[in-house]
Amino acid sequence: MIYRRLQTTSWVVLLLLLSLAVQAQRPSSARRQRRLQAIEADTLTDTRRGPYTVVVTAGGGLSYYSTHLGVPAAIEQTRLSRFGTPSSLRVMWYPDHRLRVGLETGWTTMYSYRGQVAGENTHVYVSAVPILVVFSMPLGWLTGTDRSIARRMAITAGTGLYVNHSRLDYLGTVMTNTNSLGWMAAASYTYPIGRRFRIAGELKWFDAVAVENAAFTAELQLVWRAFSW
Amino acid sequence: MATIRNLYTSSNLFRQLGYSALLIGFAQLGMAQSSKVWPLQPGIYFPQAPVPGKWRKSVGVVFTTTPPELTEEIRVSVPAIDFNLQRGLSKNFYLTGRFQTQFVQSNIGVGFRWVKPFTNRLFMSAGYDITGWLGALQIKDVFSSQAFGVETFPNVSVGYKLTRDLRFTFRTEAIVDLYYRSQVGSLAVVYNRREVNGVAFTFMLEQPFYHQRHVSVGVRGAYSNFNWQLWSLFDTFDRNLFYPQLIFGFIL
Amino acid sequence: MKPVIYSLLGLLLVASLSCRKTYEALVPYDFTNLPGSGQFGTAVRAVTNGVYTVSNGASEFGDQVALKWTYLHNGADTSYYLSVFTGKDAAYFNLEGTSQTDSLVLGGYWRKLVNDQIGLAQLTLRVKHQGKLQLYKGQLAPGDTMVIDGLYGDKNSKLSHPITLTYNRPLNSRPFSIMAHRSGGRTSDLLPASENSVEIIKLASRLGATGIEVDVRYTKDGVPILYHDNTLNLRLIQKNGLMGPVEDYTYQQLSTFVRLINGEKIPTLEEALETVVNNTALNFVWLDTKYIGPMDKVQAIQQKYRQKALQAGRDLRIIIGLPSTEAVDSYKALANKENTPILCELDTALTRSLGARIWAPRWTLGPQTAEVQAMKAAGLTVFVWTLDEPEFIREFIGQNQFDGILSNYSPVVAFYHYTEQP
Repeated sequence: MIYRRLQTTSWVVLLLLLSLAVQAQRPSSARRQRRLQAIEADTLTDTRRGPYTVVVTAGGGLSYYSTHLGVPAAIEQTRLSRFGTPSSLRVMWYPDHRLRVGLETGWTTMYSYRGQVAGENTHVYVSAVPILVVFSMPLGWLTGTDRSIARRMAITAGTGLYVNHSRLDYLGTVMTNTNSLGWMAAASYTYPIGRRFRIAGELKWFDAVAVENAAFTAELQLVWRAFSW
Repeated sequence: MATIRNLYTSSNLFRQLGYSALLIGFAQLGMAQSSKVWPLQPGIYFPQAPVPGKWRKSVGVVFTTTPPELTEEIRVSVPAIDFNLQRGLSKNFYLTGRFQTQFVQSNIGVGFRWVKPFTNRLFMSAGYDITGWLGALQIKDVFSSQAFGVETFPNVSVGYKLTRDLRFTFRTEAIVDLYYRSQVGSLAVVYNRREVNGVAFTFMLEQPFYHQRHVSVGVRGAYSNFNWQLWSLFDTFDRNLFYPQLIFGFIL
Repeated sequence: MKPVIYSLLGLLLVASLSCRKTYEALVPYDFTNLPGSGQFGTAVRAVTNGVYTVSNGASEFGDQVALKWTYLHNGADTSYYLSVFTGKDAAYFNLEGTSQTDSLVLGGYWRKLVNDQIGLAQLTLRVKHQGKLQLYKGQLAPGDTMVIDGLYGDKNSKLSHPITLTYNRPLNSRPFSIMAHRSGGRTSDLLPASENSVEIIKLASRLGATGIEVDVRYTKDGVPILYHDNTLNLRLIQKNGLMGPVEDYTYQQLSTFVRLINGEKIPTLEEALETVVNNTALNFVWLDTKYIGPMDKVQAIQQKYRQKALQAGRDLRIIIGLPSTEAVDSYKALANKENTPILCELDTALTRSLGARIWAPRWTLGPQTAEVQAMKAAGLTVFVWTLDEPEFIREFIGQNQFDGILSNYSPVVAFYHYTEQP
């Protein structure tokens, strides 16, 4: 029941983000003006360069473990949790075109379960730290204005390493880490709140392939345009 | 005996991802723009011929993830340096060349593409590539092995200019084995069987990245019995294993 | 237009990347494992062993096959099984005598190890007597030829395709060790039991093996167990949230939480050797040293089960394999190692200096003819590992230099060994 309620919550968050998009107001930038000039000239080989920007994004939210999981049959009175509170940190380079590239890390709970074996309490907890190279693109770039949804929505995909952490409490505690290749895909909506700051909502799919850990996350993020040149 | 409680399957998630793609697609509704002029941009995968007599080049890297059936617990993404060279022969016909190397093993290919533009945004090409690969390993107490082979790749590409700056290419290839020879010490094995080894699908985006530099970024999924990069594992399976690849190239 | 395009692209990408095929090969036959040989007594089994020419079914299994009976003890009872080893696609048959009384009928399944093809098989023993085919009743007159025929089916169909095997010659009797890697084969070979399990040790003979190789590690509390990989991972175990090195967990923790991919427990080394001694006809066990550290516990278990085998009248060799310099150091650190048989995978000079009885180079180094001949002249046994490529198996056996091959495809090694003509 609680799972369904939280799924509903994530849809509400998504709808909220979309409604923010409709209300968004932001004057055009000089950069956009220049881009439009480039379009009018029907050339994409504008000899001017930049500006280039380093953008730091930090956020947190809710995660849901979204693939099969296994609880050993020996465990009785099992209590299972698929939810977690992920956090993420992303550093991106925004060059003078649509494609952006950067690195992402963070931390997310995958799942946990509790139970008993012959009267002995057990607890297993699995989490992951992604270390990913990510590519991102706003849906709109040469068209639209800062008010348009397409300019504010971006899709992001990444690949790299997941450091998967496992903790077992049963007749002692065992904490281990295992690396796994994996990927990530996300869609975000960014809303400007100042010259250098934006807030964003992002829906994201983490998949650590080798260990078959996958989570769907919804995050609220603060986006900081840290440096520009 | 333990039982695993399968409470949710990843196929559901993939279905959800599909729906998300649909949503993103519909979100684009109403954003159509004038498409009178589509400037020619450099691209390696997009099915559009270079100007006749002109070269197109790229250098990049291809990461291939090893299948667990072969490398077991060692799941790595193996990088290969990737060079592409193309030359326009006519408005709709061009030659292609490709060289990939991991130093101990390399692959060189040549081919051609015939292009058919349907609109100013939609292009198709049919092509044929033939590649030769070679690997050699001399490691004390481990390897005294060499192998080489020839494969061919009939292919069809569909390209669509999503916007002025962004081009998408979907390529389907058949992977056909022509020849394989491997040698350990003084013993050698030769297979001359000409059979379909698998298929591959490539999804590629090409666009400007910074200043005037254009890039190719995409993924290729090969489903094949044999992959030249893993020749030294002497795979014996007659099964199509999945080799996902991440492709990134700077167009020069 | 645009939404359609984006939708199609999204669906294409999702479809393409979510189609990683999972292969499986479920055995379609329930073995009765009836104790005793029934109608297939010693004499019948003896005349059935041999190399056969394939007429019907040659396109699927090659033009000749090797048939060999094996057995499995279960307490005081013994069950018998007939294996068919083929030279095509690493195919084999596992059969048992059925309870039919009017004829000698074998039931079971066939499998191709290179892919996931599997199906039922039912064969009847016949004899060609004066040019006429008749049911075999246990008597073979001079000039008679054994013919085994019947039907086999595909994965999705009942018995439908004819197969006919005609006796050609006896099995090659040259002594040769056919050793099953990880006790039978890898998880990816889709065998009915998990690698390094008690259950696959019981299957090894039916797969053609005369010996097995097992991978030994220690748990955190010092229990030697069978486990190949450095970490708990989904290639080998069912999903349970536990990860990392197996050495980080106690035996009790592993026993409670971890099940191998086909549901078995991770066996202790003692459980594995108990099975070899009490249940199987295997004559060789290669204990591959996957741990780093003291070897004394493994040495003590090796000696204990060597004695148990001798008491049971078994000629069973249990050898400690040294694959690395770390393992060599562990061996050298043993207090009393003179009577501990070892196998060395490193170079010939080190192998000789350690006093190893067996040298086992990798097959990817080639036949190494001069080195192999020198080691054999010095009285050593020479094995090669882990060789699966069928054409190279044929060539290595054809070289007639090595004393044995370690392989995931023991049915292929068995085929090329038993069908080899001196």
